[in-house]
Amino acid sequence: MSIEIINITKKFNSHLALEGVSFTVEEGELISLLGPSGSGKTTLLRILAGLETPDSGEVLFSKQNITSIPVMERNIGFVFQHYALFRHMTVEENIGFSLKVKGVPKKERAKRVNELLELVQLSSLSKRYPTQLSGGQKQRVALARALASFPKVLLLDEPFGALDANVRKDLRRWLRNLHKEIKVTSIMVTHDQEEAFEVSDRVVILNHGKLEQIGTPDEIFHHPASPFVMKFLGNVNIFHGRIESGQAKLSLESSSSTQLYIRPHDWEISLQKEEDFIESTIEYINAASSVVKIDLKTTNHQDLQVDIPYEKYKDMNLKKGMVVYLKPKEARVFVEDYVI
Amino acid sequence: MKSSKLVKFFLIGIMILFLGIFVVLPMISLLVNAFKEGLKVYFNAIVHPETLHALQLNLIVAVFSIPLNLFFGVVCAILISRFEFRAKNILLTLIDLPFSVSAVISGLIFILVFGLDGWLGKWIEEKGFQVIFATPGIVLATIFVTFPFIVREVLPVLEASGDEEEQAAFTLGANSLQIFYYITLPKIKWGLLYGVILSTARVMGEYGAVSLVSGHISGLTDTLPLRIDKLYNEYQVTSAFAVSTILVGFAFVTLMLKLFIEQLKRKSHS
Repeated sequence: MSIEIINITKKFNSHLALEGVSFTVEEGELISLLGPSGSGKTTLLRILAGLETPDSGEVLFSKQNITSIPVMERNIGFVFQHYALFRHMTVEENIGFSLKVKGVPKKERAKRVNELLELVQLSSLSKRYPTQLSGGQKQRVALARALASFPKVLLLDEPFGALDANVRKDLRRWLRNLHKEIKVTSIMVTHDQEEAFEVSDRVVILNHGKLEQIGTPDEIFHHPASPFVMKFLGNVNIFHGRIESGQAKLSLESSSSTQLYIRPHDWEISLQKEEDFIESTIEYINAASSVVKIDLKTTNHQDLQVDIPYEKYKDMNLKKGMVVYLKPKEARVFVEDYVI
Repeated sequence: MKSSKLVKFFLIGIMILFLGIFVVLPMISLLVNAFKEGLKVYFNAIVHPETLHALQLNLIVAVFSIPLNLFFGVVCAILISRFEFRAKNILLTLIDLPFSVSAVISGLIFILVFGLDGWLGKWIEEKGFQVIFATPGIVLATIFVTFPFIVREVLPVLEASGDEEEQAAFTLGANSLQIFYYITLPKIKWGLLYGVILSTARVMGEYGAVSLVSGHISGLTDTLPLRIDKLYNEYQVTSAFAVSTILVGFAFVTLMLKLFIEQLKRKSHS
């Protein structure tokens, strides 16, 4: 089922949570709503679920306006950050709840519950209570419960937010495979860009209630539409500088008005002084990964982050306190939408 | 540590002394006095028609007031914990009013409203009903005094558990009644039972408010506490103590039930 979000605005007292947000989700797509806390992503998800009503704007499910249809008639599946499992019910009772309230006969219910238990690989724990499960298991039960009565849309509110880093990674991959299998249109809220990029077909970036950019992970990472997106996607070095014949020239004086955005992996690093290279001192090295993260300080005390491959780091034999020379390979400027 | 052990025994000693003087001693004297003139006098006091009638009246009051308390208590607790509205703080204060105001005043309020000179008294009399100096008045005054018990037991449970489960049930297609029955009720059942027990105990023993609205008509509007008071004032001390043992026995059962429920609750949580 496709979803159209048309010009949604929502205010909480005087706080503008969403302002004129519009975009379309295609049938079977998995979309992430990505943004910092307070960006309005959860509010938007709750509006789609019917748990909140927008002040203005419309939501269409398969071209039908459902803005004023109550939650229980929308046939959605909602997964909460803190699972919201019914704590006095067993795993199978939790999963079968939506079928029970809809009056599905016991036999049919049991069959569907078993299917779902297999889908989320929890058949052996069907008689357990939520308190007897781990975080990852709880979230899988919550997902199975949300899927029980064949929802047209699956909405996930920071589904991995309360889990350990390792479990989170596993579950992420698992969710992507599950989505491939069941193909239900899904929208997931997250504040973790890695998660959004790994799981979703397209990513919607929200900031202060406004849509900043929508696109595939690739588009968003390589063509960020605004300084906000650039900064949000990862540590970025901001320098004052100027553009000369299509080349970015850094200047260490802050008098220059143009801001250059340079990603940590977009630096050339050299041990010899060369033209246009800036001098920096290595302050800290984190080599515990295939990409070595280096913190530096320029001669005018500006902090700088540079990522280089581990092999290069070995070859150059870099050490804390060494002086090196840097030049940006690629820089972005957002003044007057001018991107080089 | 030695000193903390000393402190412990010292504190235990204080509590034994305190409970001995204020609880155990009076209970013993009550039992001794009740049976002082023999079993026959004791049983005669208990099976006296006016005593039996008082007990019956107490039970009638309980049968009416507990379900009403239960209903309004749950409605009130859900309203306060789940909805935002402007008069919330006023409502919260009003709920505690019966606890903070003297029971005598609670009785007086009902006389002022339903008595013959009261606001609604004339109208009610024309309709052929009697509230004051009759069972309805006693029920009303008792509800007023015992209303907070259930709200105060249920409200903290609802506030502590949050409403995420209810929201989840909503998204799964349940309607409000189903949500209450399948989700909210199982959550609050222990608090509810506990509130019922506390409020039943109070219903049986309420004296102040009932005293004003009942009119003390023997064999008609006397509840057990009123009957005991009357016997005592008529110098039938032994009978007064004998009838008292009914209320004490009831209190004992209540406490046992309370203990039992707490144990069940602990078991169901582990």
